[in-house]
Amino acid sequence: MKRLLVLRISLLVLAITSQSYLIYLIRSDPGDDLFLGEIIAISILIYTSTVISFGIRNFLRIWNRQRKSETSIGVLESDLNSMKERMILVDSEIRKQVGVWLHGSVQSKLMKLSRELRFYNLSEIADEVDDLSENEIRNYAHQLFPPALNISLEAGLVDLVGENVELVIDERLSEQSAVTTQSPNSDGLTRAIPRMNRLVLPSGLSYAIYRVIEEGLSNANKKPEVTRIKVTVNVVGNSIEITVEDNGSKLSEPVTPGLGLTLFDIYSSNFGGRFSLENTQDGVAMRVVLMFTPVNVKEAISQKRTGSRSE
Amino acid sequence: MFVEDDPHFAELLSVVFQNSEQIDFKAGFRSIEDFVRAQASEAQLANWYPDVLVMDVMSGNDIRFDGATYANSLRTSGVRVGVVLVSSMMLGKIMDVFRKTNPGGWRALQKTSRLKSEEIISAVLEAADEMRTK
Repeated sequence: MKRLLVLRISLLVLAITSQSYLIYLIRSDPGDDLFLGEIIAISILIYTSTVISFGIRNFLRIWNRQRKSETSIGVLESDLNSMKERMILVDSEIRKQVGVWLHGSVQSKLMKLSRELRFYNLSEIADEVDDLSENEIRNYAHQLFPPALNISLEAGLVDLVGENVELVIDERLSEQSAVTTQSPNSDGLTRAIPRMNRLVLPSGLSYAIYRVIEEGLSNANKKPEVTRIKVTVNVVGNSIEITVEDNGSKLSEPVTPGLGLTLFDIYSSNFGGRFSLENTQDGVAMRVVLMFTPVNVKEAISQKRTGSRSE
Repeated sequence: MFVEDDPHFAELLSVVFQNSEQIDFKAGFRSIEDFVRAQASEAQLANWYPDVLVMDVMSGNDIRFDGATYANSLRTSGVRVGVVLVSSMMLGKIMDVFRKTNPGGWRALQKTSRLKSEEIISAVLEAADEMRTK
């Protein structure tokens, strides 16, 4: 370090001396008498301005590089998020397709086989085929993608929550918003024209909402004192807000991540949302916010026609 | 009338309805899209709709047209048609979603190998009766 400093100072002195000598040579015509101090001052000024200009140039170069790096990082982050979204979408689409295939095609073929077996009085084998179809395959298909979600989110959640849970779902996600508008015909009857304002959720988001609520219900049901559970799904701007409230014992200490809580974190981070667990007046409320771009049926059909959306 | 994309179950429904003395079988469609096309080409809709429509829940490819939602749409548009929804899953409480919007005239059948002809006929007749009396 010291050597480098000595070298730099030497170079500085050398530069100023040589510049002074140069100025002296240029300005040393008869009758032009410059003081040595004046020459040195001018040299220092020239040197300083050169150093500053180099400095500014270097600063601009570094700043530009930094700006480009930041832009590149931004682009990479955006690509990464987009890839993550696509992965989630692909994952849920594959789940959905395999689930529909098992639920529809495979079960249907097994049912036909079973009926034929019964026709030939092979009831025992038919029972085994039915067991495979109605228990194992159905359960597996349900694990992959709950079939009721293929009807609508509301149907899926009604199927999930059961009798003793109060379910409040935003009207834009409910069957109420999928009813037809009146369109009188020449014969006085109306033709079915589905209303276009129901929000279409990507299958990955429907699946996430379903699993989050399933986990929230499971956590609430683990507390034996719970007698009331309320599930609310609301659309607020560009987000879906899910709340699972129970009247069980309150949290006595800060929440430590367990398996269920990790699942909430995963889903909320995958959809750029947040998760919280807090005490309420009566018990505990779990809140998960998932971000999305609201698209209604009309817009989705239009996007499908123009090929801007794969769903 | 039925809409069913599963050829095996469609065949079963056809045989059951054609052999039933209590049911006047009108037509069977393989998808909601086919149903909608036939509906659109019909000049006198008043005579076209049946008393009961047997509808497979997953019989359409369009996001507007899952069977249950479409049948519910028909009802809301003023068509007085009983609906029997068929599915491999147990519809159970899901039926409440549709009964809430359009009360009465709804029945559900689960596709299993144990499903009997009488159960299918009974569901159709019950849905028709409920529509008549409501």
